[in-house]
Amino acid sequence: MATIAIDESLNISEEVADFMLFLLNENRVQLPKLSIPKILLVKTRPGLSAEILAASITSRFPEANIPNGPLFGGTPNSMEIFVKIISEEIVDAIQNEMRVDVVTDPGATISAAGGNAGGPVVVVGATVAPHTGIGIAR
Amino acid sequence: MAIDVPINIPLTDAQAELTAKIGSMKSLLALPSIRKRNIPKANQISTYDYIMKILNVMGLTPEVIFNAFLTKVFDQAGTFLEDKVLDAIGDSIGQQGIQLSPYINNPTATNKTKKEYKSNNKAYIHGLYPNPNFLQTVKQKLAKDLVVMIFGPKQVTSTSLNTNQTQVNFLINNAVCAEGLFSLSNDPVIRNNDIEYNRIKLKQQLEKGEVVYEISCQEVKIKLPEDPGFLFTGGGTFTSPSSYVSPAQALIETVQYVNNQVQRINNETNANKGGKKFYQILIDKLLSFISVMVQPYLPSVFTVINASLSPSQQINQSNFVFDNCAIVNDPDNEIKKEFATSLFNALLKDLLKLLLLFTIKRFKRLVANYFAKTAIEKQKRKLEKSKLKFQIFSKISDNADKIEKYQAALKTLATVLGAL
Repeated sequence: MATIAIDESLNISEEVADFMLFLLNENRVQLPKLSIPKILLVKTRPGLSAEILAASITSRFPEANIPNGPLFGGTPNSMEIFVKIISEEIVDAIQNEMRVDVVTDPGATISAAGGNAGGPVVVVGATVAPHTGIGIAR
Repeated sequence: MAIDVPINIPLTDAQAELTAKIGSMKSLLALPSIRKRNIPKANQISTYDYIMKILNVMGLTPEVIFNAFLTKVFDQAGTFLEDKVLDAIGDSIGQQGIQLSPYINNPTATNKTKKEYKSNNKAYIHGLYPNPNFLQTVKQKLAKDLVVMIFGPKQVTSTSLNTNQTQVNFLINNAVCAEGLFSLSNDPVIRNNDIEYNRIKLKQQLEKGEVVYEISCQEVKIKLPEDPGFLFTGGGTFTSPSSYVSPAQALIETVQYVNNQVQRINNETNANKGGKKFYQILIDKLLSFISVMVQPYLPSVFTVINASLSPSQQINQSNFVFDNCAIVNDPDNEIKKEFATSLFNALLKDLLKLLLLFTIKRFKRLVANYFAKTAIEKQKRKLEKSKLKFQIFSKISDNADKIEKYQAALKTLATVLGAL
């Protein structure tokens, strides 16, 4: 051991790592909130398909220098089969096991019309509590 | 003997699935579980080494920071080094249980009390020296002494960087004693007898003026030119003769000189690495030698301090500032170490600060570029897919039925299939 030691307060290699990991997390691009019309357009989406997903992934194999199609001598391409299995299982889990819980912020505008003996009653206001809902991933 | 033919009993899908799942669960259980390694602070990689590692993986070199550090330490107009030296004197006096103002001499003071004394002493000495400039005029000399301590030789000639034989002997002896005294990196495991061997070898090399450094896993013998003065007065390959060269520039030039020496005996790729590696050696040596280099210029500081103390309270530099050899010969004496420890750590702190700020700045840029680039790639892929869809279905509504979509898709093949 060196006769003259480095001051303990200068041994901060772990803190440096933690700080830089924090920077890495903080600098991630935050997804913007979607507008209501954009969310409503989701109705036109076809939904998840394991086959389309597997095809999309295998079509990008060349980017990772992985061959497409049957291998030399006609051997089936195990990677393609593997990707297909993974895609099927993931899509199956999303479609059949995933749960979507929804909560709406309070403050949603409400308007209602009705009537009583005194005549028609029109109510305009806002929800005061958050509301929950459920959804299904397809 | 009767023939025993095994029966092929196939499993149903559910049976096969269960056995496969149990098998995979067993395999996963057999995997080593995640263990959080709890490494004590003292055994962790040093901050300096870790920052170097990060810079290395980011493909950056720390030369620009080393330049900035040298410029700061050897700045002839600033008081950076002087401030650190005054702090180290305050620490050294406090370590012996002495507080200068109000005067207290308490040799049995606890560490906590000593810490208070040190803090008070530093403030007091800085008060006595509002503009410390006792090293400003000798920065060039300090840089020359550093080069002498790194390269030797012991024998003084008319062209030597330091022509005072007594001073050179003192510097060389202390350079030898500094071997194994300080380290910016994690301490290597070296037996005491090996340190002694290293010191003897280093002494021989310094006396001869031919120092061997291990640069990029290769031993390189470096010898300064016969007249090394041009490094400090201009001339040679990179500066014009008689031009003004600041002490920091002279040291940077020395690194360049070593780079050239390595290049002379090696290929260009390794030569560059050699220069970079030597820069780190230079910084390491600077921090190891600085407490010895400044010692001849401290009497004036002690004179100023003593002027404010009564005759019975007078302090003597030789009791507070010790050279490297005195420390090595009495390694457990905390009093002897204090001045050098304080100065070494203060300079190291500033070096780490510069390195860390540089690393964080470049890391932030890297992270921003990374996320921007991946986002652009993602966007491009999304756009390509949408474009394909748009080309086919642009003229029909979103809720068009399957036949309409099929007809629209088929139209894209019309150039070959014709009208259908």
